[in-house]
Amino acid sequence: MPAMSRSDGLPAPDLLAEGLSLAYAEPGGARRTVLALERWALPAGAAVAVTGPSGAGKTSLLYLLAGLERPAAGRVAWGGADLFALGETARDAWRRRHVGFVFQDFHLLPGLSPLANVLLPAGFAGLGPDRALKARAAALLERVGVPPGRARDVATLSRGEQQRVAVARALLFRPPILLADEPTASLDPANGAAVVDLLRGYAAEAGATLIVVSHDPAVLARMGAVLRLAEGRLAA
Amino acid sequence: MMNPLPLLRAEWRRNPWGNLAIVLLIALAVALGVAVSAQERALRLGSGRAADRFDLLVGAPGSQTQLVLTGVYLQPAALPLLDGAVLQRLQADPGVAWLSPIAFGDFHQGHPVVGVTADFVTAGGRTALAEGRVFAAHGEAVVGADVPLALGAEFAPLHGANPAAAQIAGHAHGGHGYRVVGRLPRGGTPWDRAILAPVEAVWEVHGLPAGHADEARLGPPWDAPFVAPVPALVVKPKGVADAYRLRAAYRGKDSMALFPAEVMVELYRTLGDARDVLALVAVGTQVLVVAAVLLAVFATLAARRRQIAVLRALGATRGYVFLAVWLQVALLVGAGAGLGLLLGWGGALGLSAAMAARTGLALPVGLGGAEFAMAGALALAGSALAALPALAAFRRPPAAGLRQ
Repeated sequence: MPAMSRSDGLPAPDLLAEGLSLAYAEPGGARRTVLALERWALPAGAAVAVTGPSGAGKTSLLYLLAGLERPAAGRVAWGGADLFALGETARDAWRRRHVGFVFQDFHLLPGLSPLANVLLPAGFAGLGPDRALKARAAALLERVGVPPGRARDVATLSRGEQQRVAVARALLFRPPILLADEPTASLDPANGAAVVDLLRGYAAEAGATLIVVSHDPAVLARMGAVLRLAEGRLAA
Repeated sequence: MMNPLPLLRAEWRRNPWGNLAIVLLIALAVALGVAVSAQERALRLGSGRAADRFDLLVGAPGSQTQLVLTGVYLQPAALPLLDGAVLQRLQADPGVAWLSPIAFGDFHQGHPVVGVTADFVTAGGRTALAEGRVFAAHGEAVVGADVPLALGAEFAPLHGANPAAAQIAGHAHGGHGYRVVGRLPRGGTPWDRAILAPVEAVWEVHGLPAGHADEARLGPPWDAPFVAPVPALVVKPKGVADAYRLRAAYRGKDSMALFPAEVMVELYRTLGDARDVLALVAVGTQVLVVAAVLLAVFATLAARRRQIAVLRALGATRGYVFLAVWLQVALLVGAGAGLGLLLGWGGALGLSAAMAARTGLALPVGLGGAEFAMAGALALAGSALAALPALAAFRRPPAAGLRQ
């Protein structure tokens, strides 16, 4: 499937997270540790689910890995890129080139067509998509089962279709890293399975690293490995 | 380079009416200031043009402003009368090119019949009539461009300052009708609605001496025993030196002389003060509107924090979200300022049309540097202030927005 291949994308980097800790100030002045991770190494191309009870720090881990949140201590390195040694702008640029992100609630822009939504990141650095990128976006939409002519406004799509458009958006720049935060939690089982298939299919074809935060057993069963967190630490 | 236009398009489609309301609100505030400024200039230009024919006004001592308003702009008012002796002296002065009394009293269907000389009608021979000729006998009249009487039409005016009251209480002067023999070109002044008759005829109608021993004669010089008192005299001096000499010579206990322009300057100063006050009100309104718009933007920004954080997670830089938020506000303010210029211009045109319909004074409305500067300043200030919410979006860490 040429549309999914990322033969011309960036190579997937290995992940190394070390001494990672995150804490919040609580009302009253006490600090609550959200995450304390000694060391986590993940080879390029791995497909891992991160699970655990709510409040275990799953989502915080995902934000740290994407460089969206700065840890209190420790470092996150994807290949040669030490995320928090980079400046904010460089980190944004790195994220745009390396990370595809899928959210629980899709976060599409209502009022825009599926194609315009998929192409939105093309405006982050550049005047807009070129013809090749437009063709790629259209092919991605075909691939996820929401052809570009399907709707004029993403708000009119079903929830399953919206999440599949969000997946197409995440794959636009052929990211070597794919991160998903509870991607099936807002969907019925059939649509959830379809979304996980899309994510896994892309990662497998492209050799991309896939990390999915989920407490959905159907998702855990489909991933190569499962990392369990409890109270911010790795559980056995 | 970056292109936040798809984001702006989505924002517009999400809430077109709200955005339109904001643009309209800003436009109305700008229009208020633009209309006041353009209208004031139009009033100055139009009124100045109307006073062109009136080099020197002489009247009985009293209000200078009233003399100008009544003599030049035909505003109805009872002026104190100037003694005939002053007219006698003036008509003998070698520095006078021509002069004309302005004698009021009669109305025909709301049009004032004003007694003047033939020199006044033609501005000393400089102005040609649009049609017909100047009056040459007591029963003839020249009408302004807006008087609906055809050449050859005959009419008998009614006495009284108020035409409506004159219909009831007034009386037609028996046997004193006029025939229209000429029509003035349009001047854009209240005189377009006046009927110009020989001053001798107006005097005679009111039982005053008709100027000459020979009752059929028209025009100066008038014979001493037959000169009637008049409310105002228009004097065309031969030169600038004569103008100043005459003005000085006829400022005294039984007369006052003035250049309408000097009185107008006083009026313009008052007008300018009024404009400044209104402009201040307009600026205050604009400040309030822009502040309200910014507050609204901050309020929607709180709701959009998540969306902005999502953009960051998808790879948007801080610069991109800054630009997107800034452009959104700047475009609203800019569109409002542009629309406001147009609305203000239209408003001033409407006001001028209403004013022209009431007074006959044509007011040339145009947009000048002041109006463009006003709208530009607002657009600029709005764009500068738009940096505040944009900076808030720039600085907010994405994870905090995603957790909301």
